Amino acid sequence: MAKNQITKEEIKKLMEIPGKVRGVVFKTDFEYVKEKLGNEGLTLLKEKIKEWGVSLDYEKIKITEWYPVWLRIISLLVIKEAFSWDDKKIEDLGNCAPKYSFVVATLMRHFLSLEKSIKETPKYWEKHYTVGEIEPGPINEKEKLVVIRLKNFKLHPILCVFFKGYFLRISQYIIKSRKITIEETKCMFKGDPYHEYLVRWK
Amino acid sequence: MPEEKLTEIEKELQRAKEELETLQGYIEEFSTFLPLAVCSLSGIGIIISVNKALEDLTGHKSIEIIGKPLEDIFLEKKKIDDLLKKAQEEEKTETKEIFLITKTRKEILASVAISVRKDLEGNFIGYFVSIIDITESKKFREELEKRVKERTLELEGTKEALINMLEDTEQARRRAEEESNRTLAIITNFTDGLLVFDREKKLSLINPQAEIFFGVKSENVVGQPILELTKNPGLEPLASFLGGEIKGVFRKELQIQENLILEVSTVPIQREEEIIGTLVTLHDITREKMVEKMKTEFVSISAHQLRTPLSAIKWTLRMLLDGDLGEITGEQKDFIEKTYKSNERMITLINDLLNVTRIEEGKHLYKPALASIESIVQSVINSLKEEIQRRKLKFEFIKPKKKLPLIRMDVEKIGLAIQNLIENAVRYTEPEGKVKVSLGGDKKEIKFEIEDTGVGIPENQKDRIFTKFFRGANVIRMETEGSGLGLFITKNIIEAHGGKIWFESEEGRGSTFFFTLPIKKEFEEFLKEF
Repeated sequence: MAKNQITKEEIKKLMEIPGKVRGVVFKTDFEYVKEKLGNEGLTLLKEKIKEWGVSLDYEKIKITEWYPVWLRIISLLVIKEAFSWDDKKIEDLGNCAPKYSFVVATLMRHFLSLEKSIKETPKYWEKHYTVGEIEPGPINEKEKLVVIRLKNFKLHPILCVFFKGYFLRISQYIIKSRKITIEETKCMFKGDPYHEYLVRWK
Repeated sequence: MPEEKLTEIEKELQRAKEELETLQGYIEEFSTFLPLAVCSLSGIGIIISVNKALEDLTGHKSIEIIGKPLEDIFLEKKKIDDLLKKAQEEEKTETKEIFLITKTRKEILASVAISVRKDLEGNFIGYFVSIIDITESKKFREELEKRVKERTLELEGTKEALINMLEDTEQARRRAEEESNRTLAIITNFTDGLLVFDREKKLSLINPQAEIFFGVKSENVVGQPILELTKNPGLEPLASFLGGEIKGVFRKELQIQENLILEVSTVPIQREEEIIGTLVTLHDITREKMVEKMKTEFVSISAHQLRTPLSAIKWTLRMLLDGDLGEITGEQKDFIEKTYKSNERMITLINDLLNVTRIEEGKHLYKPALASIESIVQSVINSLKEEIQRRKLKFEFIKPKKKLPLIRMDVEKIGLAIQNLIENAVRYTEPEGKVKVSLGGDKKEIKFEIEDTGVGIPENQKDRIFTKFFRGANVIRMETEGSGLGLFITKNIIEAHGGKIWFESEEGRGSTFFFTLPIKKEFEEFLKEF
């Protein structure tokens, strides 16, 4: 057994986290694993979920349906454990998630310009999560930076890594630059009042 | 809000979600099935979604290219940028041929179409892109263009060749026309009359001279068959003479009118092996015939006028030689005998000349009578017996095994013909030589043959042997006597009897002359009268 294996107690504790999430987030996890590891990976993932005793069947997930937000954390943790992925891999999963998202494709009108996109992010968040909120941060086109703040969302540190990748991808959709970087400058798990991501580009 | 109302809204929301998921599934299936490579872009040209056909075309998995600028999968980045701008500015689908780069760095020429996406309010929200691999169609188009070009070149070559051929044909046509005009001019101005009959024996051409000869106009007779022309008073003599099949004739005389005698010849017109018509030439010999007639009349009158005094001389000399006018000396007798012989030769010559004139006047024949050829031959031989003995010739007369029938002939003239032949053999055979006369025949004809071992006839003079006044060069050398009229007269006599005459000869070895005379049925009828 790997040393970072989650315990039943930890799972139980996670299941106490309130809030809901759209089914689409599980779909993107599923597609990513399928893409990276094929059916073998999916089988391994299913076995790991069974091992954990969690009811999560990716193939039956409905993308527009609301599911418990703790299931979102479990999905990422079980993937991380099943394939012994590090944070970088989880960040990459987050970065690829919008690529598989039908919802993202249908919400393209929100990504027309940087300013409009940032302005629309709270609404975009609301379509995915019932907990936490996005605060559009200041945009400095001269300095080529934008700040995204995620408030009231202290669920699990793995989501910090996931959203780092995810916000980077959204930035890549709306900022035309080949060199876009993202950095979590503030984290609620580090005692900050909110999560803050600083996006820079050249 | 009442609880019932809330439940109703939740149900409605659930249905909407289900429909949305169904729609998503449908779109995914449709996108996967679609053979056209398509993708959607964000407002700044970032690839948001791709279908399977685009994955197949580029070799990239969707995850590899979603999130990248569209230009990343193309070689000519600026073209993509321009196309995006243009599509947005002009708000219509823009298409360009741009090289796509696959994952394996292969360059594919693609037709890229871009149109803008709009939301329900008509706001620009991104792009739709379709990509078609046109490598094959481009190759096909180029190949087609190449083939069209090659074919065009070929056609131009053919056109040039055709123009050349047309020019050549035109030139040939002009040449043929010139040739035709020249030929027509020759025909028109030809002093002889010319008629051309086609293979159907229809008159196709008559020249002006022939029109004058026959007193006809070309337009009235051209196109008519020769049988039809026998009904034309002008052309009747010629048409009848030639016959329906247009017999082959060579220099045959034809009297059209009293003062018009034509010499007619026909020549077949051939193209390669095929006879395509007949040319009839008409040479006006009226004047020649007139001159000839005058000459004949002159000779005839002269000969008659000469024969009377020569006969008187002959009988006077005979009387002198016979001593009817008194005794003469031996010397006087010798002189008178020589004079008598010379006079005899002159009489013979005059007789020959008279025979020739009669032949030419057509008054030669004849006094027909049934006679035996054998007795005529024997009679001639008898008259020449002394001469034969004097020349010490071995003379032989082979008579027919069966008795020959009597035939209808001019006895005097046949006798003359036989005499000429035997005299020539005797006269031109050296002493001790041989002369053999044979007589034979069958049911159809009687054949006379005389063979000698005489001087023969020079090869180059054989074709003139039956012409008037001709004497062989070797004969002139050995014998001064002879008029050169004997064989001419003989030939005319034999032919006048419907017979044929010919000879075989070798100079220095001798000659054999032959003639035949037909035994006609009508002679048998004639016989019955006696």
